[in-house]
Amino acid sequence: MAELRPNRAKEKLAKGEIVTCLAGVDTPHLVDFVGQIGIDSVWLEAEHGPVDFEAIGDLTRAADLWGMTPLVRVGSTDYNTIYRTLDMGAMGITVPHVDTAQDARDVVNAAKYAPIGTRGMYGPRQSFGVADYLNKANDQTMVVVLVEDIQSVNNLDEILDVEHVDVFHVAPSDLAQSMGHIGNDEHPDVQRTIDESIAKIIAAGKIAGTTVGAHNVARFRDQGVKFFYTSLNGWIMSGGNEFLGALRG
Amino acid sequence: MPEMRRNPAKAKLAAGGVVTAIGGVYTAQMADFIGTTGVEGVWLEAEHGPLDFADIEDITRACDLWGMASIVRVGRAEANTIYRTLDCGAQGIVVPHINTREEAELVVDSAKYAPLGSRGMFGTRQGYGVGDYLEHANNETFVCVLIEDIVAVENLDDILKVDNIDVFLVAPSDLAQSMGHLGDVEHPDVQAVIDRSIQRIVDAGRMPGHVGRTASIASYIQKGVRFFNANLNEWVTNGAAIYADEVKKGIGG
Repeated sequence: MAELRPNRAKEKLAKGEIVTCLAGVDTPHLVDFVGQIGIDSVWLEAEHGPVDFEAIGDLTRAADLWGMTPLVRVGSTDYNTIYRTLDMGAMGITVPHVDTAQDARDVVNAAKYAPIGTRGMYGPRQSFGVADYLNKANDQTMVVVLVEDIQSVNNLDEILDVEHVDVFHVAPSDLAQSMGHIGNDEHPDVQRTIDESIAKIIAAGKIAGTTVGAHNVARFRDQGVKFFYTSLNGWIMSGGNEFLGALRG
Repeated sequence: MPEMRRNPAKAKLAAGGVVTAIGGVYTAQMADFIGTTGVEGVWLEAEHGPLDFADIEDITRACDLWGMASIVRVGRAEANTIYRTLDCGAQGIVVPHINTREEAELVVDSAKYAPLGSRGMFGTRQGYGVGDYLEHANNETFVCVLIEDIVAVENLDDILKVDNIDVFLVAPSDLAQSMGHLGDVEHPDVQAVIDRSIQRIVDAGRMPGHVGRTASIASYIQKGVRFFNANLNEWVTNGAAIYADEVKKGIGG
């Protein structure tokens, strides 16, 4: 009989530690390869990217091999989409455009079994061989909501009152668009809104996440952010530039 | 830095245990579920079955999660096929129709790095993050050759002299065909050749393998066989028969 697989990201957050989450790794081969780097979790993209339900099994198995927490960003707060994603093997979901407390409650309801929610009943992949899975699954399942519209920022106090959300992740690009600054994440109004939202999340005793690169990760770490999304694309660009720079001398 | 993943089939055979590799598993989802049964290995079919190189990574990861040996039957004794299969993540290979000592030597040469062989160099999946992979890979790579033609039986003494082969598996169906008894593996002549071959392998101090059928596996363990290729189709058929019997009981039939 197998033990329920631990969720490294949730465990580290519970201890007050920082969690890294790498996106842009939407093939099992890449997930497997980046495992050796020591990243805590992978962000599999099903809001914008190619991750279909059929792909989740293989992708999440590669993450499980390295003890990385496989998170899938789903497309919406849709009930079935969330629990089907978890049933295929994800240990957590990230949900875009959570703009109201009701949106956040819908997410928790879909992701957690009773008594917390009403996640649909099935034999999920993470349950294979695990006795008493149903009474343990809620503790393994991680929930990340994206605060990425100005409406969400305006409703943040109420959203922060929703229990069982592990991370409130402030995402800059959509936020900038919703504030009339499309493509200009660095606009002072956008940056101020991000900083104020992070401060409000932390002040409420909740965990803040945000989207970073090497250029700004230290700044947000110093603000108290604990969950960091970054993308392999940035690493490829910097590695590629370094290589071509060396070649050109 | 992670440790080299141990090969559970090799470890159990070395400890004198019985290893079953279950065939008929064609998807990673199925391999993942099979892990709950506690079977030691999965036999992935690329001689006859649908598995391409692209499938091997995903299915062998599912095996790794459960500590099941992932063993791929390749199509032939061909160097690139063998080491590419291993590079994609298989922990072992089975090679059909090994009829001569030279063929057996080619298999070992393809599956093992120097000094045992000349397996091609690449960053293999099982090597990710393992600092001293090249030192450990040979010890964790399982090699099985199939004795399944009457010419292989005739050359068996020579074949058995080849080192670094974990299992010599006597496979009945092709053997029967090669003896003129197509489809009749129960023919007394075929059964006699199987039993004599298993005994010769045991007498040479090597490890025999055979097909693992529920009805006969105990008798082959008695004969010294420790490695079995079972088949999921048989398990499904047996399970379905048990279920149907219970249905009959329920309706008083």
